[in-house]
Amino acid sequence: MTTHPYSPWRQRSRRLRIFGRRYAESPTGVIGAVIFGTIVLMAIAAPLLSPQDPYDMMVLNLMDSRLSPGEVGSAGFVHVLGTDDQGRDIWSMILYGLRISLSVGLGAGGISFALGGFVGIFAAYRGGRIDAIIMRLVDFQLSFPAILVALVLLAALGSGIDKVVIALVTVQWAYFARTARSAALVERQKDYIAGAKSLGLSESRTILGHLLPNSLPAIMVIAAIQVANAILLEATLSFLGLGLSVTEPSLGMVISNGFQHILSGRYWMTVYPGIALVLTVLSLNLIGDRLREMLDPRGQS
Amino acid sequence: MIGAEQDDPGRPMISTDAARPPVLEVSDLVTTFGVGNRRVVAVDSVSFTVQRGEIMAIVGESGSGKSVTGLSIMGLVDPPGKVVSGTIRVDGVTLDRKNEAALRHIRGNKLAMIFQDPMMTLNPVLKISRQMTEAITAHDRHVSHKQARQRACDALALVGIPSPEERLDGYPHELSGGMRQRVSIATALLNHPSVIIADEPTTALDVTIQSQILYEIERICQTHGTALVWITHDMSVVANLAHNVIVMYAGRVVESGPVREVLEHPLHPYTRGLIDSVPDIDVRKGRLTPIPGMTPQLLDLPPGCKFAPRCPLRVAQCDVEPPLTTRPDGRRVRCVRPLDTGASA
Repeated sequence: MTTHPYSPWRQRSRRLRIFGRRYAESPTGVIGAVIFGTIVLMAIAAPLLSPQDPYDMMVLNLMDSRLSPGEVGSAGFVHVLGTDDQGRDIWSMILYGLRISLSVGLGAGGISFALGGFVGIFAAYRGGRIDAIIMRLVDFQLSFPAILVALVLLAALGSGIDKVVIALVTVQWAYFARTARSAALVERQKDYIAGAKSLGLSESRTILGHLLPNSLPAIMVIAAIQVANAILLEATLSFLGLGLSVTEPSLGMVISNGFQHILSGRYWMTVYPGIALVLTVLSLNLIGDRLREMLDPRGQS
Repeated sequence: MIGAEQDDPGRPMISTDAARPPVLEVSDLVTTFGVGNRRVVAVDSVSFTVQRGEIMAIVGESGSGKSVTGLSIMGLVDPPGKVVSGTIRVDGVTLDRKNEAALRHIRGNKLAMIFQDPMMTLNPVLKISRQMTEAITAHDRHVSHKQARQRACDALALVGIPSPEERLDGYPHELSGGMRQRVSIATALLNHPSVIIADEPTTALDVTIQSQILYEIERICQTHGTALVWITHDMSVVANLAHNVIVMYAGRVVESGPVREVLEHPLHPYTRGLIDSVPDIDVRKGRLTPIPGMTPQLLDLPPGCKFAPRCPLRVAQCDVEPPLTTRPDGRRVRCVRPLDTGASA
């Protein structure tokens, strides 16, 4: 059978291409996407790109500690970005740290997206008392500083990647819920929702099949920003020593480790991991800005 | 054009045979909306019956409660609105407003609805096939995907959509307004409903498309014996399409009866006002006669007859709201001094 001109696969790929072309109209958006894409690839390929596994105690040599960028260590390779006080290669630590930071950020962002998005859409669909209760809960949640909530939770739960994700989701679901609700409130007024109901569709089918897909774009915009925030918050927590355990060092912990040496002039232990963190967060924000621009009808030419 | 003079033999008479129960029976329907801590009555004790195959028009200005009446019948009034009382019987079965599952079973199955704006009634992100087959599978889980698709395809062909097979795989934005409205109508027809409630389905379309759609709907209702409740503000559509008409004002029925009689000899001054504000090409009136004033705010209704402040014929008795009285010929009117009582004016 030849490909039918209306085949679903073609439709989808065509719509993706149109989306991609529109996205690429903004240079900053492209820069953000390229940087973020490179960072993700680097994190995935960390074992290939790094000269040393910084968490393998067997390959570490204390003689190599506090080497400045460009010096050659005892293992015979150049430490491009120097080493820390335990002789770990900073470049390798950044790559491995990115893996943890990105997975925590994307994981927490993804769970908050699903949870907050669903709660928000449900609130908008139901309206009335349920909506009021959910939204007061959101207001309550948002009235506390994120870092405070996360600190309290981690103090209670202990450290570990799963606990950090729980803390981040607790902090972030409310942002998603609020955005999803306002998007869904607008969509709900449209006739196609009444149309779906008039066909006798069940509530879950109306919400999942009709309300959700149309509210999704607005939620996706804040998703990019919230993943960036999750990464930042996790770095902050790790910097304060409350986030991940030492066996799962994220960028925040790498920065924290080097921080004690910054006054003695060994800037590289903090500055380079810091740059990696900034680039990650910045690129995500650029992507988020571009998505928002594209979805804002006033900005369309 | 109020087609009162022209005789059209194509329109079959609807037998008001008492032996057959009406397909839709609305009695004493009251729907209110909460505004602040007050409740505003949007539909006040509306009653009417629709026979099998009958086309019933509900006319009124914006805010007269005609759309809310339609939504109330469907059970689709969203909070803060609420159907407070009244019974709705479809095919002799009383709808239980509290039983959402039972309502869902009726909706889209025995009762279908067509909405005003075809640009808005189709979900922009879903393919037409998905939106149509969903309406079938929601009521019959045993239908295979292929069968559902075939039924959707047949329905599209029935409403006059060319190459329906290809349209099924398209998205709503690929269709024109008229085509989209045809898709909505086809979707409403999928489960062979007993009653279709159409809320100004042609208002958003241009006139040529409008008459095509009117023609298709009339034809389909005739062949399937589907009853149609046509909500509109357009008197000319009423004249050309409906068998019977209900005129609503401020949430109340002010007049009802067979369309010919109501249009030729309106009983209520408001009905006459509506008719006079439609241009008529056969009679060269110098100017159209608009109804003075605005529809009253539902929050601030006059105490007596709701139309009295705008009525050219008001008298002292109008300070007390007149009841809706049924006349010997079956027509109903809510006026202390109905026009045209027997001897024509």
